[in-house]
Amino acid sequence: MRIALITEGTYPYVAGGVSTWCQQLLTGLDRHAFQLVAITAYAGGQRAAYELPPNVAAVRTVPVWDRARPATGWVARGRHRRSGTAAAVPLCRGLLDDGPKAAGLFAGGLRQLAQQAAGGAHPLHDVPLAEVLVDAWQASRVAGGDVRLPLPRLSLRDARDAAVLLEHAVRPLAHRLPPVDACHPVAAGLPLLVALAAKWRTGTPYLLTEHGSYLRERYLEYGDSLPVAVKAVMLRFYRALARLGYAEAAVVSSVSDFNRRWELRHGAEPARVRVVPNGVAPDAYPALAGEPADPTVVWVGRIDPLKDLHTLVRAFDTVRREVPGARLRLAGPVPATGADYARSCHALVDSLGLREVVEFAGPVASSREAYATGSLVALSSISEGMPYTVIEAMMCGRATVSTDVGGVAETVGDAGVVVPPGDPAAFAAGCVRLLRDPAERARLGEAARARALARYTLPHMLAAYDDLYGEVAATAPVRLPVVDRLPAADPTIALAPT
Amino acid sequence: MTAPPIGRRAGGELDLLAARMAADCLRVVDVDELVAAIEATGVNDRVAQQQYGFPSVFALGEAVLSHLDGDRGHQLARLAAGGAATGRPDPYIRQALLRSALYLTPVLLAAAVAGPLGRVDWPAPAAALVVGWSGAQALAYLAHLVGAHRGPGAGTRVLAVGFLGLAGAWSAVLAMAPAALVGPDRGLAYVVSLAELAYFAAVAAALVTRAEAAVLAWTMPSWLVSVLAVGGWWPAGWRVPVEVALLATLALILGRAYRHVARRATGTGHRVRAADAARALAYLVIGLGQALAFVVVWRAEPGGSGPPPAALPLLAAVPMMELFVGWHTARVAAGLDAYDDRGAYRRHLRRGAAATIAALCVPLALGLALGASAYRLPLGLSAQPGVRGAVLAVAAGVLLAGVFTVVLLLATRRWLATAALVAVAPVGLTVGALAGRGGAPTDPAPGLAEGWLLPTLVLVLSTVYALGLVIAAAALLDPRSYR
Repeated sequence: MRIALITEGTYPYVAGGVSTWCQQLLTGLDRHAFQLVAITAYAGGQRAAYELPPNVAAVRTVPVWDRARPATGWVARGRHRRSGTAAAVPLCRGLLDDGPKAAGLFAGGLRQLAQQAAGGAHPLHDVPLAEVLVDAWQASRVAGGDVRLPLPRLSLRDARDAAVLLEHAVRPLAHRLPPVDACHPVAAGLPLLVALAAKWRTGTPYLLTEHGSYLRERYLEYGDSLPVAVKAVMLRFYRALARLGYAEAAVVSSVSDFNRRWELRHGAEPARVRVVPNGVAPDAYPALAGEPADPTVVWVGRIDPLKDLHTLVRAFDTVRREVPGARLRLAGPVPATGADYARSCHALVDSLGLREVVEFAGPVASSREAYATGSLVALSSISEGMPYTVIEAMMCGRATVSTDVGGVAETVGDAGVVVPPGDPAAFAAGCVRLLRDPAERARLGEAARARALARYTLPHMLAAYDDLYGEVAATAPVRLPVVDRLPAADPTIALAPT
Repeated sequence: MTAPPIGRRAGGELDLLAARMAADCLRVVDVDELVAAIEATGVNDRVAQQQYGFPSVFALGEAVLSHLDGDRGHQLARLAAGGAATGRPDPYIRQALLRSALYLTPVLLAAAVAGPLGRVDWPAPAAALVVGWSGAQALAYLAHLVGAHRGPGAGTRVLAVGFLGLAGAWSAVLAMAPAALVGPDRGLAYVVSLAELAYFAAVAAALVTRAEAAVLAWTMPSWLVSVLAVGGWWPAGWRVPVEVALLATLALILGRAYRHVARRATGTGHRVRAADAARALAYLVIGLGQALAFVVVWRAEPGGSGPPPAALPLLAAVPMMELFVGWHTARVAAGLDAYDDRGAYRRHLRRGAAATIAALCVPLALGLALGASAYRLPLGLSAQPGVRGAVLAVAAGVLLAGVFTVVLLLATRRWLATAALVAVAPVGLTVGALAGRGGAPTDPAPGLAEGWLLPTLVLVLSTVYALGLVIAAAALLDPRSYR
């Protein structure tokens, strides 16, 4: 089969997490040919963090914040502007309100934009979107809308700022995919736009996979970072998009039951939502034999606010007092967006006088070697899907102390310590308990490995996705073969049953 | 989802949770945003059931919101958080004064080294002024564009490379220029014109990196040296002459303005496209037109040993222009925050446009009045040698300042091509008129200046100004120019 795997801000340019999963999928499902579509902020200047497997036919970068791509020609630009405005009106009305009628308006507007963008021009470029937004806002307020959470005041500046964000956000609609049998967006956000456009233009079905809940992460990310009205526009756009994405998907796959709740909450049909946990190769993570000489807590990941390293460092301040000689090792890269946060972590370590016992180890070549340097593995995140750190550590037979976020608790089960997020005292208590009790550490480590081998192996995950691809392709409408469009050696599109 | 009745088991807990989430609730726009925030504190479905008696965190979120909505104070606080103006007033007065001080600093420096400057024939520094002024406009636009994508280091590197290229080209031109255009001391001509270019480069970097205040602070040593020199307090016996001291202070200014030049670029590459090049060209033409018009007005009145009369209104106009355009821009920006209704905002813009155009009529009226009165001065002053010319020169200065303001306004409203046309019109029309009469455009004899060069200039500037005002009115009334 020919699959378009669509990512946003991750694979192949950023390592870890979702990117690890993508690499596993592409490498493991080598009987399928993949087109990789990477939605990024800007084009160019980025190097792949992974060696792409040979079954990746092409990497297509879709920059969202580069220069706008207008329609070609004066007349075409005028037509583009008029039709874009006509589509923006229902889009804005639909995204602001709730309910099936609003969802229909949003879907209709987005579909119009997708058709208009089929030529490659960015669909809302040069459209007076701020004006459309202001009018839609006024209409929604007059109509009453949500009584308990009425729309905040939208000043014209807010409308302009929101229009800029919205115009950039819908640009992936203009991406034109080569013929594929199915799309596989890896988030219920901007990747959906590429998949929806392909579905509307050519009838290509898609499998939507969510590692974390995209919408939930936007709720957390936008907390105080935007003016209230701008935030309202963007969150409602993402909400409407996610709902539309769930409704149009052939199958929605989720890495955990935790995420599945959010998907069902926003209208996904239960029968079409499957939970496929992440997996790791047991051969790559054999059980670790020994432990470091000093009692060491190791954390592996990307230094990012969602990882809440402040809680971990504060917890370790207590651990150090309770367990003499204890050390904390933080292993992982600092992404460009996390530079400020990394500085704040260093400052916190200094302010607590922990510089001698907390090590920022930077990126590591092998996560297993990083786990080997710890007596236990910590995860202090405030939001997760199904973290590889935990699965890999479990497979290595290391005891874990993690926060009860996303799919962590269901992953760990009773084979590790799970504490509430953002609670340094609880986190410290979990670490102290395990550091002081080698027998309990060993018992939990063995239980964790047994659980990982039973549930979270890579072959299991790959087989599940292989089946899902078949299921998704089977939903494609029958299309008659077109000699000059379809290669004779690949009759899958023509022969795909309904 | 229906929440079970609360109060028996979980009422107190819910109170505590609501109190904990009250601050988050002020800015939530969706109940699920609150749910996400609650989950991030460690409350999951299990906790929602066991601790609060709700079937899920979603139901708990709904309950927390309802609980807080019962609190009138909380409702009011939320309304205030939602309705607060998002923008802050633009500190345009400070910016305008900072920029004006930067633009006017060379006048002080020139006064301090008036002696050596006198040994350089005027075409060399005048041409350097034109090259620096126009080059700075175009390069600053490109540097701003690159800097916005790749950081201040990349932006200042564009300026550095551009100005080094200009300096090299200018040096080559100077080497080949006949002595009549350079003066007896060719080496001094190099120093003067390269110092001019260096100062333009410093100001451009200050504007691009938004470091006007910092760069201005670093001009203080040059102010000090200049004041000592102009006041005659520079010790005669000092081993360091004023000129050398001023060059050293200029190096300090350059050093501060280009402190980011070696900083690594951030982000990804930015390709300058045809539209960018066209805009840079428009800025180049604007700078060229402004600088040439300035030189023509400066040289039109032969004057005596003091500063040319036209310089006085032009110097006074620099801060006024900056303040005026800053006021206009700030007023437009304030309307964006103040209005949530397009009709009201359009009325606000129309009122602003009317006020702007009305204010711009004042220099036009003043210039015309001065021009007319030059021929009807009391006490027979019009017939006195040089008086009529001086008044006409002042009128030309006033009118040119007005034309500059119109050009600046048009550029602010992104009517760049029109702005460029208005900027070059005074020189183009004046040269055309002079060519028609067979006279030389520069270095006029006193008779020529008073006879028809200055009147022609005043007439041309008045015409361009009046037409520019009509065009500016169209630009200010066009809603598209505010997008």
